Amino acid sequence: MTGRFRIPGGLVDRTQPIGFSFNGRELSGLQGDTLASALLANGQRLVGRSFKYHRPRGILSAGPEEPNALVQLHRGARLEPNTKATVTELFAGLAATSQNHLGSLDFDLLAVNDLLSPFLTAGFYYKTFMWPKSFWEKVYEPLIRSSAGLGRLSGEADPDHYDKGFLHCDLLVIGAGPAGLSAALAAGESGARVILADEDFVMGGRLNSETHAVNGQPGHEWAARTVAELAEMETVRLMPRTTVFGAFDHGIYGVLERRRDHLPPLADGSSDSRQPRQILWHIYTKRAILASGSIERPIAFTNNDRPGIMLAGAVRAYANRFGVACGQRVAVFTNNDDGWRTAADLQDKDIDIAAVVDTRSLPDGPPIHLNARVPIHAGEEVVDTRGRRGITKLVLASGKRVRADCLAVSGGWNPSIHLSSHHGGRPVWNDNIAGFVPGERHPPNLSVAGAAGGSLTLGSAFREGTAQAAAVLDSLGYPPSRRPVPEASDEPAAISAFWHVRESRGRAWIDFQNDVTDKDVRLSHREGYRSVEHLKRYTTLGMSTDQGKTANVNGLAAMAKLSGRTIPETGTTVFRPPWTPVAIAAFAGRSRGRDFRPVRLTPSHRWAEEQGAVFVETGSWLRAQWFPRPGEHGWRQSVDREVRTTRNTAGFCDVTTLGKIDIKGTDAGTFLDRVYTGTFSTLPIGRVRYGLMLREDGIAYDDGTTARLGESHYLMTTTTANAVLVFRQLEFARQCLWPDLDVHLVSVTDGWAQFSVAGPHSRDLLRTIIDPQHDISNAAFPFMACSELTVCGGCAARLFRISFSGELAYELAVPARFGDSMIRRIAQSGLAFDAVPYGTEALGVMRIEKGHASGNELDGQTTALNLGLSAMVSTKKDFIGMTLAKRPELNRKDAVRLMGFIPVDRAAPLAAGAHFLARDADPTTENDQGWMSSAAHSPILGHDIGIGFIERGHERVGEIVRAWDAVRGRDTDVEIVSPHFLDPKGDRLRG
Amino acid sequence: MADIRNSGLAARPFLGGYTQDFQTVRLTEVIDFELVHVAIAKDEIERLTEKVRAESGLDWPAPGSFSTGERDDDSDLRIVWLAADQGMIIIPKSGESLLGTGRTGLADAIGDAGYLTGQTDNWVALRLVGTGSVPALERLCPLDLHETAMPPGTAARTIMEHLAVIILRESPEQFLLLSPSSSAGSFLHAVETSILNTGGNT
Repeated sequence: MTGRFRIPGGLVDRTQPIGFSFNGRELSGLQGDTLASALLANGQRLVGRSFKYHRPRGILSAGPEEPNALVQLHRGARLEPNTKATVTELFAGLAATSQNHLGSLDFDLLAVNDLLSPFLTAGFYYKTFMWPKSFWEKVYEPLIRSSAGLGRLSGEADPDHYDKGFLHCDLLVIGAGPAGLSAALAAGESGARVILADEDFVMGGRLNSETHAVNGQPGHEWAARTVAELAEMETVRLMPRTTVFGAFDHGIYGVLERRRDHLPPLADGSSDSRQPRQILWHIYTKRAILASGSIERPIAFTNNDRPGIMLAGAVRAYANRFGVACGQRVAVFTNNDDGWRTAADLQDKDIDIAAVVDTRSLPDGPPIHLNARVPIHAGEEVVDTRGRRGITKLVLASGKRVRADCLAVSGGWNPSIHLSSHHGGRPVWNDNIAGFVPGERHPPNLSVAGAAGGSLTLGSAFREGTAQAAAVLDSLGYPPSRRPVPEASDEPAAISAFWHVRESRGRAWIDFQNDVTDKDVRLSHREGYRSVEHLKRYTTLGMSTDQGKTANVNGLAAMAKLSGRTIPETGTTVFRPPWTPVAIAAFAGRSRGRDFRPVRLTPSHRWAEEQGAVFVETGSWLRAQWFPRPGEHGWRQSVDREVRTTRNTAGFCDVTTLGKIDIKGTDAGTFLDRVYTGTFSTLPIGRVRYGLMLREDGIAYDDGTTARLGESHYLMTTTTANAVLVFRQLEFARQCLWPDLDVHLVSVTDGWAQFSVAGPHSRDLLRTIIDPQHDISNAAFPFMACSELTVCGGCAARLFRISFSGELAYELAVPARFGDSMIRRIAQSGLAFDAVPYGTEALGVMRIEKGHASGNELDGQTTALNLGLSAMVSTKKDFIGMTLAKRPELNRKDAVRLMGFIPVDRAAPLAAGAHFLARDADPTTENDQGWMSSAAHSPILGHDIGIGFIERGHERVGEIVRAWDAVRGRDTDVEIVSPHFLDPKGDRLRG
Repeated sequence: MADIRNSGLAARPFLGGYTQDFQTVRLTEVIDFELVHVAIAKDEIERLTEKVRAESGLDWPAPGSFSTGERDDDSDLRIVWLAADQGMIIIPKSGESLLGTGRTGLADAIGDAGYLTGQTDNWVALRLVGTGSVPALERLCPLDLHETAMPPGTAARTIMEHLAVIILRESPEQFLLLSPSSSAGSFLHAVETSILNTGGNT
C-alpha cells in the first residue's frame, strides 16, 4: 500500500514501492513520485510552518515555485534545509523532516505568533525594538536572529563532491515541455548541436500533467517518444534534472545538473563515493530558446493559506502524473477557463467535486462541460475558509458554505520569464493573459517560445517551439527541419483578471513563504512606500527561497488597486540569477580544501621535505621557511643558526621562485631602457645590473637584476610576487606601446632551478661543482658578472654573481629537471664547508641586515626617492613612469626616506607596522612621520633591527623617535641609523 | 639514490614519469621530448618559415593549429602556433642532453630570422588518450571540444583550474596537454580528478 490517496493512473511505477520517512514516520511511495506526491498520497497535508506566524502549511504547487513545502533532507553532515518537496525526487531511505517549529509540527509552540499577528505586521521590528537602547545588542538582536531563517545547517563540512564543467552548443533549449521538445526536435533533426535541459527528472513538462492528445496519442506518450528520439540523435544532449539558473554575458548560461540528488547518499569510502553530487556547467551557446512554461498564481482571500488549498494545476498534476488525489472532496475556485480543466480531470477520475466557483458570470455557460451534479457558482467568490490543520470548508460571498478537504485555486498563469530579464530587460504587461511577458530586451540570441512568452495553449507552444527552432536553424546556416508541427487542439484560455477577493475581512496571504498578507501591503502603502522595490524591502514580499514566484504579480496587483493605477503603471517585477537556489558547494565545485588553488613547488621541494623543512606559502609557491635541526626549540633558533652559518661559512637557498623573463631581439636593450629607470643597452655582455621599474604614475613597481647573456639576449629577474604582473606589463608594452621594436619575451621562471650560494666559502664550494674550465676567481668573475657555463661534468648552467644577503654570493641555475639533483649535490659538497640550507626567514633577516628593499618596501606607495634609489633614475632618457615621477608632491623635501632603526633599549622587540612619532608627540595622524616596513632579530648584531620610511630620514641619523605600535601595544624608542646595518661599503660581496 | 658525485646530475621528470590506465583513458607524462620556443624576428616571418621548413620538413602552422611530420620517423615532431610571431617546436626523443636549443643545427639554420628559447623545463606534458578523454576534459577545459570546433591538428592556449595550458588535439580521442612545470602536481591532480569524476576508475 502506498497511500490511501493513491488513485489509478499516472506515470508512477506501481511495481516499485519506495520506503521513506517524514518526521521519523515510515511511509511508502512509488518510483516516479516526488516527496510531495508521496506525502499527499499518504494523506500528509500538514508539512511545515509558516515563517513568521507559524501557521500550518501544506503543499501548494507541484514545481519549483513552491513556497510552503520546504523540508530538511538527510541527516548529519548531509543535512540540507529548505528543500522543496515538490521537486525532490523520491528515493529509498529518503529522510525528510519539517522545519520552522518549536515542538512538534502538529503543536508548534511558536504558533502563538499567529495570535500576536496584530503586533507583527510588516516592519514591526523597526518600530518595536527601539527602546531601551541598551536592549538592542543583548536582547533584541539575539532574539530576532534566533527566530529568523527557516531550516538549519548541519554546521559540518559537506561530505559530498561537486564539480564544474564547460559545454558548447548551437542551441540551448531551456525547458523540455511541448515548446522545448518541439524546438529541440526540429533543430536536432537538422544537425544542429542542441542541449535540452529541464529541471524535472521526467522530460515533457505539463504534457505529463495534462490529458491533452498530441498527434492522436496521449501527450505524455508523445513526450516520452520524442525524448527517446532525441536521445538517439548524435548532436543532441539531453540534460534532465538540470536547471538553467542564469543567463550571463556572451551567450553563457549557468546550469546546475543534479547527478546524485535522487539517489541514496553514498557510503563514505565506497567506490562511487567521489562521484559528484552536482555539476555546475557553463554552457556556451550560439542561440537559446526559453521554453520554461508558466507558473499558476493563487488568489488572495481570507485564510487562503490552509493546508489543502492548492494551485489548481498542481491538483491536476498530482492526479494525472502521480496518481494522487489531493482530497476526497475537491472544490475549485477560478477566474479562468484553465481552472475548469482541474474539475474535469478530477471528475474523470471519480473524485468528488464539491463545487466550482468562478469569479466570472459566465453568460455563455461553463467553458468545459461537467457532470450535472457538480454545483457551479458563477460570479461568486470564496471569502474565507475553515479548518485548523487543513481546510474543511469554504465560505462564499453569498454566505453559502461548501464542505471540502481540498480547494484548487487558479488565478491565471504567469509566464516564467525570469531568464529573459537577467540582463536587465523589463517585462511588459499582456492584458490577454493578465500577466507579464518578456519585453523587447532579451539577453542577445535568446528567443522565447510557448507559455514562457505568454502563449498559454498547447497548440501555440508547438507552433512557437518549431518556429523559433526554424529561425535559429536559418540564422546558423542549417537546413530547415521538415518535421510537421505536432497537432494539438487549442484549449480554452479565457481569463478575467481577478486578484483579490474584496469581501475578505481577515488576512489574505499574498506571499506564503514570507507571511506577507494584503494587510501588510496596505500598511506599506499607508506608510508611503510607493515603489515596488520599497514594498518588497518593507514587507519582504518576493524574498527568500522562492523569490515570490507565486506572489509577485499578486503583490503588484494589490498595490495597484491601492494606488488607483494599473499594474504596468505600478511597476514591473524583474529577476536576477539564480532562478532557483544553487548551493554554495556547487559554486565552489572542486575548489575546496587543498584543491582551492594550484600549488607551485620549487625544484628542491622533495629534498627540503626530506630535511624536515617548514614551508610557507608565497603566492602559489610553497617555499622552505626554515630547516629545523634536532635540539632546536622554536623557529628563531633555526633561523639564527642559518644566518650565522651563512655569514660565517656558507649557506644555500632555493630562489627559483623569482620571476625570470628571457628578453631577445635586436631592440632588447632599447626595450629595457624604456621599462627600467636605468640604462641597460650599455650593459656589457657577461654583466648584471640592478634595475628599478616604475608604474606610469611614477611609483616603484618592481625591482630585480637583469643579465646580458648575448648581443640581443637579456635575462630579467623579478620579485616572486610580481613575476606574472611584470611579464604582463612588459608584454603590453611590447605589443601595444612599441610594436615597432624587434623584441620578444618568454617566461622561463619554471625552466630554471636557481640556487643562491652565499657566504665567505661560497666560491670554494662552487668550485667543486662548476666544471674546472670555467674560472670563477674574483678577477675573472667579479661582482655582478654572469656566464653560461657547465656544471657536474657537462650539465649546462648559468651563474650570476649577485647578492641579496650582502655576502660573497652567487646564484646558480640549472634546467629545472636537474634541480633536485643539483640541490643534493650542493648539500653534499657543502658539508666540507659547513654550509647549511637556509629558508625564506633567514633570507629576510639577511636582506634587512643589508638594507635591501623587498615587497614590504615596494608596497605601491613608495618612489625611487623614498627608497633611496634616486641615483638609479636616469635623467637622460624616457622610460615608463618618468613624467609622473617628477610631480612636485613626489619630490617634497620632507619626503619619507628608507632608513634603519635600532631600539634604544637593545632588548626591546621591533615589529613592522609601527608608526614613527617625535618623542613628545601624541599618536595622531597629524604627528605621523612614517612607518616601519620590515623588522627582524639580527643574530649578528644581537638585537632587533628594522627598516622603514621616515620624513627626511637621511638628515636625521642619530635622532631618537618613538616606534608606536598600537596593534601590539608597544611604544619603543628607536634610533635612526643607516639602513645598511652590515658591511655598508660592500667589501664582503666584492671579496 | 646513486652517488651523483661522479655521475653528473640526474634528471627527474616533473611527475616521475607518471602513467596510469583508467577505465576509459590512459594518462601519461610525456618525457622524451624537447620544447623550443621560436620567436620570429620583426618582418622575418617568410624567411623564418622557409628556414624551418627546410630544416624540419614541416610547414609553419596556421593560427590555432599545429603541423606535424607525415613520415613515421617524424610523426611526433610538431610545430605549434602560439601567436602571430611565435611558435613552439616539439622535438621528440632528444634525451636529456640539452636544454633548450633543440635539434642540432636548428639555431644555426634559423640564424637571425628568429630567436630560440629552450622551454623543455618550463612545461610538463600529459597525454590523454581514450574514449573518456573528451568527457574528462569537459570538466576542465573551457574550449569547445567538439570535433567540428576542435578537429585533430588544433592547438590552443587556455586555462584549466587556474593553470595555463596549451592543448593539442592529436586525434579525435588523443590530446597533448602542456602546463607549467612548477605546478605539475596540481595539474595532474586536476586531470586525474576530472577522469575520476567522469567515471574513470582505475
